[in-house]
Amino acid sequence: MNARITFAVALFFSCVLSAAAVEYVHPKLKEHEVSVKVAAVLPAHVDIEQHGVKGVSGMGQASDDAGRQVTFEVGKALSNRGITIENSFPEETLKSNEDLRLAMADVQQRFDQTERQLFRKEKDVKNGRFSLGDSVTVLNPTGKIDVFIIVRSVGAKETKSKAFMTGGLIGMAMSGEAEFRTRVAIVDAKNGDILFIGDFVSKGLPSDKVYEHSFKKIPFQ
Amino acid sequence: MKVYRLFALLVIMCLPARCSPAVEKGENFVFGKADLEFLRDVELLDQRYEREGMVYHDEALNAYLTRIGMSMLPAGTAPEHVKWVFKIIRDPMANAFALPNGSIYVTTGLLSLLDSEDQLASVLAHEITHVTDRHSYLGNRDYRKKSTLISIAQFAGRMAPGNTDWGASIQLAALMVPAIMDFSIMGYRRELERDADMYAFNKIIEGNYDPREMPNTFRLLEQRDEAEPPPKGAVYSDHPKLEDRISYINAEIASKAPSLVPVSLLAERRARYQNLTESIVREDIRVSIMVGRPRTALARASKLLQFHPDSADNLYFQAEAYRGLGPWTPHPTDTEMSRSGLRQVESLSSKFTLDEEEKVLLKKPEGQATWSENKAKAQEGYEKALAVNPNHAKAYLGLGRIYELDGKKEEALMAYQKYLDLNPNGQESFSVTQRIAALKRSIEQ
Repeated sequence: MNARITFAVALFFSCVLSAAAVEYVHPKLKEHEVSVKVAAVLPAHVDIEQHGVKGVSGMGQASDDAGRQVTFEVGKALSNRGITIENSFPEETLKSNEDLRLAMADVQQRFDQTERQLFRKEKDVKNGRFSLGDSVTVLNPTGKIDVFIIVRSVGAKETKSKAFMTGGLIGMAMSGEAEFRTRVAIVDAKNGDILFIGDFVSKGLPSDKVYEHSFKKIPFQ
Repeated sequence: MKVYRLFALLVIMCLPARCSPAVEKGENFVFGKADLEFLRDVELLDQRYEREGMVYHDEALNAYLTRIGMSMLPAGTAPEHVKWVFKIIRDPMANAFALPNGSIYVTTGLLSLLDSEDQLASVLAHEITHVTDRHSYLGNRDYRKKSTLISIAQFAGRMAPGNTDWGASIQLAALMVPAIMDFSIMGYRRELERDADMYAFNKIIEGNYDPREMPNTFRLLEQRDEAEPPPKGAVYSDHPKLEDRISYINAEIASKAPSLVPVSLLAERRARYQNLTESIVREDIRVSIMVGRPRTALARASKLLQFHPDSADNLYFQAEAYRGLGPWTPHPTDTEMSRSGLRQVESLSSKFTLDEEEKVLLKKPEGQATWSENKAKAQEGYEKALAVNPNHAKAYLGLGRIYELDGKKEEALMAYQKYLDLNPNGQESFSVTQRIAALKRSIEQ
């Protein structure tokens, strides 16, 4: 009986909690200098690759679908924490509104620009080191959004044959789902400061529960 | 033992030759399952560029690009699974690329760098060859074949017992195969690039464009506006070296001696090009500043002003470029461009954000002096833009920022207010309102 309980607990932790890796919170958020009531999730950028015997190939459709799923799951996790999600960037609106699409691309590009230093030393978010600058306000013309959520995720999936060649039968048995590294940044929509970074490694895309668990460190209200 | 190792070495040296695909001309290309999967991914990539706001739309410029692109196509119908589309992508790096489904992308950076229609025609003709001759598919097939060999070699290396001579030889070979294959993949791609250059050379002559503009394009690509290392050398690059490209195209010009294009026609095409690309160059300047390439922005802005010196927009963008420069000099210094300087630039940019680098430079006297000069030039540019167009809202915004940096709070407040009056619903209105509020608070204190 005890062995069964231990196994079940271990399985629970490996499935749900092992996905969360690190989170760093900006002092402004910790000390309630910034109040977060309304958030807008920018379309997540997800790239999944398949590693096979014949090399690495992109998984375009899976990446696009995962991008939509991640955007939704992050929004759901924030909703569960009592944050209002402003659906400012639905795909259809972005498709028809070129100005908004270009402004969105600019903000995403600003993030990618900072990514190199940010991902190199994520813990510096605790010292308030990173900012995208107040140019992010182009996506917040009325000022009603408190934070933007920017997500980047990269996934790699090994084919069965590649897994066999690299890890033998054990490798093959463990292959199947893609492994993801997902980073979620919360950005002040009024001045571009990066207020939070969460960094997860997970088997399969993280669910809203994983995001919610990591957001627990943030005193939102 | 030595014999085994020699044998293993011989085998791996011969692998690239064994797995180089036979040249398949575009029209004989037969689609396999992997090619169709590749095509599907490429089409999704096309959609992704559009969805993520990377594609720039300008009706007149798109029509111009399409007209020149279409004139560079080979005679006959489009190859199977190809639909020709010519697009502009917002990226300050000078580049062009073709997707195998016929989408040809030219970056804003390249359009801003080029000087004439003839140069653009040579770029488009080059990219078209990649599509018609199915270079992406061939490259992908080549990569898949060589990757399979790498996987097999690595598997064999893993399985081979290291305590025997033959096992050690296999392990040695397995270690070397990936590097050799990578060189071989790059080498194959360089061959395809050369083919594309040759097609472009012949096609632009047919289209009555000046082939001498082709080496001129390569020379422009050699320009370094930023302190950054040049692209990787020919050994580990998928393109031939630029000097090699210049030399083999010049050799073709010497041997074929194509007739000269009249100077008046060249000038007419050049003027048309500059006229139609003016708005895209401005967009490129804006993006260049945003991604931390202010020197490139300044170089493009100066070129714009040479073409159209009385434009308030052009004056404004040059001022923006000067403001974006901050404490950096307008051109890279010799120290920055030296080998150690470039290494230092690369190391700093990986460790520090642009804002942090700027703060470090501003602590030095030379950084402060350069910033004073750039700031003065920026202010002068905004004022000139306002002299041409007194209702240029963004020039007021720029002036406001300069005044604010100089601690001239009242002047900054007035300039920001003027911006808001002229452009109450602009994208920056919210941040300007915030700045005004902060300035008022600061003045009251």
